[in-house]
Amino acid sequence: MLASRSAITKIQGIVIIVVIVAVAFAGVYLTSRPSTPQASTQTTEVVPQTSSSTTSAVVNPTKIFTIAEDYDYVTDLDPAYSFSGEVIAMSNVYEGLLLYTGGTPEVKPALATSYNVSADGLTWTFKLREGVKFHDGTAFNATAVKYSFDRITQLGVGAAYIWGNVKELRIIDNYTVEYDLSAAAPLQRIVASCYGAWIYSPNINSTGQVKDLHAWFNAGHDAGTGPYTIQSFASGTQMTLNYFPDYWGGWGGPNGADRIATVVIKIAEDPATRVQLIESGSVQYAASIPSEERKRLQNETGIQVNWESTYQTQYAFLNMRSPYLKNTLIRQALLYAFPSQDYIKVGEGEYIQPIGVIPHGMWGHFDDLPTYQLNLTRAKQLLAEAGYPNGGFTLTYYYISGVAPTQTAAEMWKAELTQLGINLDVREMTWPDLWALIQQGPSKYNYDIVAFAWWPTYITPYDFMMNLWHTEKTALWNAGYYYNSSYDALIDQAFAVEGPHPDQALSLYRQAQLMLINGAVTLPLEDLRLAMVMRSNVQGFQLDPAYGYDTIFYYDVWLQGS
Amino acid sequence: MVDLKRYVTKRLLQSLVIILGISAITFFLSRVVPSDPAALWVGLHARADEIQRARVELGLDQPIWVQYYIYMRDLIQGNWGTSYRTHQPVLHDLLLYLPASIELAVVGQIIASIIGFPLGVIAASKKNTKIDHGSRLLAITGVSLPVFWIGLLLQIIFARTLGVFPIEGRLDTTIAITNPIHTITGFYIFDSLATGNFVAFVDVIRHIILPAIALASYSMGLTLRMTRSSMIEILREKYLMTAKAFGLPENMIRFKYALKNAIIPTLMVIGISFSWSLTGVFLVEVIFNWPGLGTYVWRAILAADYPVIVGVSIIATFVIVIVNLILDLLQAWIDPRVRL
Repeated sequence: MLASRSAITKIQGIVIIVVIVAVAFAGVYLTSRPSTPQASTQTTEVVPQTSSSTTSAVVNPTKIFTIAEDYDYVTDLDPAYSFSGEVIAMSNVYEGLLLYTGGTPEVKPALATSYNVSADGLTWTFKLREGVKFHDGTAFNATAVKYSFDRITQLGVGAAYIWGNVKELRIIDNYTVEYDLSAAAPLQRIVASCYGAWIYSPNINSTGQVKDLHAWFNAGHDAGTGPYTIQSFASGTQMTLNYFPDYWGGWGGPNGADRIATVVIKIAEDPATRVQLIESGSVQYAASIPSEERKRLQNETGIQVNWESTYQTQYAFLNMRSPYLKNTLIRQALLYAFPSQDYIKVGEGEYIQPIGVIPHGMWGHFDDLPTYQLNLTRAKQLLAEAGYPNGGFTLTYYYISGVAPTQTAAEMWKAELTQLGINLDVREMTWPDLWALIQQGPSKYNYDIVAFAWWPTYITPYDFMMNLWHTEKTALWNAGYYYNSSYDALIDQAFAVEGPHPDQALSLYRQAQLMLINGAVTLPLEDLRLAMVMRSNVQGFQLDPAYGYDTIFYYDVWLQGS
Repeated sequence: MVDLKRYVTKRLLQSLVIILGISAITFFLSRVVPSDPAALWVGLHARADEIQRARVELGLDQPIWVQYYIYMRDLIQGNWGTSYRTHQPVLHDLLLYLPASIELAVVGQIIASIIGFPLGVIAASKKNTKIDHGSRLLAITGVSLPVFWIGLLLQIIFARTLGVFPIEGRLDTTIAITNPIHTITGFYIFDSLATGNFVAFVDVIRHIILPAIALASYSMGLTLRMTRSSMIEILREKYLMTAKAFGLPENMIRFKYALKNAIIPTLMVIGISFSWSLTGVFLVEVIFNWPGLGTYVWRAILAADYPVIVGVSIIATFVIVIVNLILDLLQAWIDPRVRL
């Protein structure tokens, strides 16, 4: 045979390939070794330790609750920094002093068993629950409350601002803490906030091994007291929660055998995939099912649809600095031109007609405030008064890419405005870009109308009314650049008396809302209702609208059947 | 051998230049769209002073050249930055998503080759017969049908209706709890076999088949057509007629002699389609919930998450460069006429 004359011989070739592949594997191996995020040494063993629960119940390990979320909801797993979609998991892993229920009474005990407040509303004393353990085994007491409070206020991150009125937090004894306020505030709601109020173990770094606490949390560790712990976390893919056997609430009860042992939260961005997952029973809850599919699924055995109110509202903010919209008459004309009845119909149950600017069901909402209804005749009159009897100008409307309600609203509005001779230029933008535009401030004329949603950090009308319409030194959320000092004074005063004199506060908030309505400052588009599509065997579910997005408290839910 | 060493070194140095260039281009280009990463970092309901503080902390108030210098300086030391959106270290995330992408791309490529090459050869040998027409139809179908449509179809037919394969993911939820795969390389197929975890291994194969087939469709069509046309040319060569005259069996002629010559242009095609499989298959990833680079970089692009965008570009460039190097060496091995 002729000697091979190829540039490389067969042997050389094989050696090269083997070396390259081995190097690649080694590289991946060496760099990926520290990356297997294991949470604390919490095992998934079913046998509970000696706990303070009423019965030593055993949770069935086959009870796995799988969820398909529609987007990557985790931004930060550090309880101090957390300010976003990860609340759906954090609400089950961490607890605050109180829990907001939205009913009567509006808060219920969590890590605090009772509280009282001084007559001037400036001193709040909380009695803490005894016998509670953190997931790392440390006992919960006043030190932990102070530690969590100090950390977030010193870092000033996440929702730290909710503590703005607290001068000092004092430890009275092991199970009593006292908050001293500089100005009255509804602290019972603040400590029940789903952001910035979680209490976690001060002993995470007892061995000095955890150098960077923020990174430690984001690697998938947790240090809470809640009924579930983070067992594993693969960023952008999946999170697994396991039940905490030593949870102070115990694991017995009438449905003890059906309670959830493990929660798996997957991310499935494609709606078709989510539909298939819930239909096949691979998941027990799938978020954001398109309404067409939801109507079909509703009639299938094995699937239930739970309609839940939220405290989320979509608004179309009118730019008060726009050369056209600075004229109140034109703004009013615009609001009379929005086909609200038809728009609500399009939502097929997911939209509720807003009344005022505070969502239905929330404290501070009033059912008897005036609303604008479609009235093109009136709109024409107003335009004529303003000097534009036939319209003849263009307005730009921006909405966030992918947010269908605001896109639909734009298109329906555009159709009506065309009849008035006004052209609505509808544009979409991703949220980071749109927000950057808003923050350029009132001196830049970037848009006439911008639409986005709001929901509260903790339950107070002030959260909406301050963030969205209070005068701002640096433009942030007040996208309409509505700078009105009388309005500011009204709501600031309302907030100051909200703690000690809630009725007074309510009437001030009502006046402030009337100011916005009469000034035609903003068009509230819809209060959002969630149609939560679940398997029929999911029982005991109730949405607590104060806890953000589609937070489910897995502790209260059980899975019937196998 | 000296030639070879010099060649590989030269190629690797060239690759370094390419990666540097790509990183610079992506770094500067991604900042063209006005956006506020500091606001993204602090979260949805942040306050103005927090955003300003984050801006300083993240170094975003510096001039862009300084930012680039800091980024490259950190990169060399192994710090690829932290994602503005997820607050996770970029390198850590990349090394989670990369094995998943590579595994899918490789399996897809294998499927494409197993179908494409033999069919291409047979179609060329039996030109203009029913087999030939059938193969060409298959190739056209694979190339023309949108990959997401093929994926959806596979999912509906095999996963939902027939229930033979799972709907999505890399591993079954229950098996991940009862028989977890111990991570060695991140390639589930390899890891499960290496640790003797056969339950998981079978499940992993079941999960990868549908997305791999969807992925393979385009590459298979391309491979089939290219092999066929190369083979047709080669089969006309006189030396094959000589081999036939010597009485060598048909299959030996086709697969041992002719294919070897026809394979070279096809290798180039494989290189390109593998590169595409790595980052361009976002649609397949979304449908099958495959945690790959495509999804990762898509989310980053929508959120203007610069460190991730640049990080993925660098890693993708690196993998593509290595793959092309391997293919060039393969070509040199197969074809003695090629001078490195």
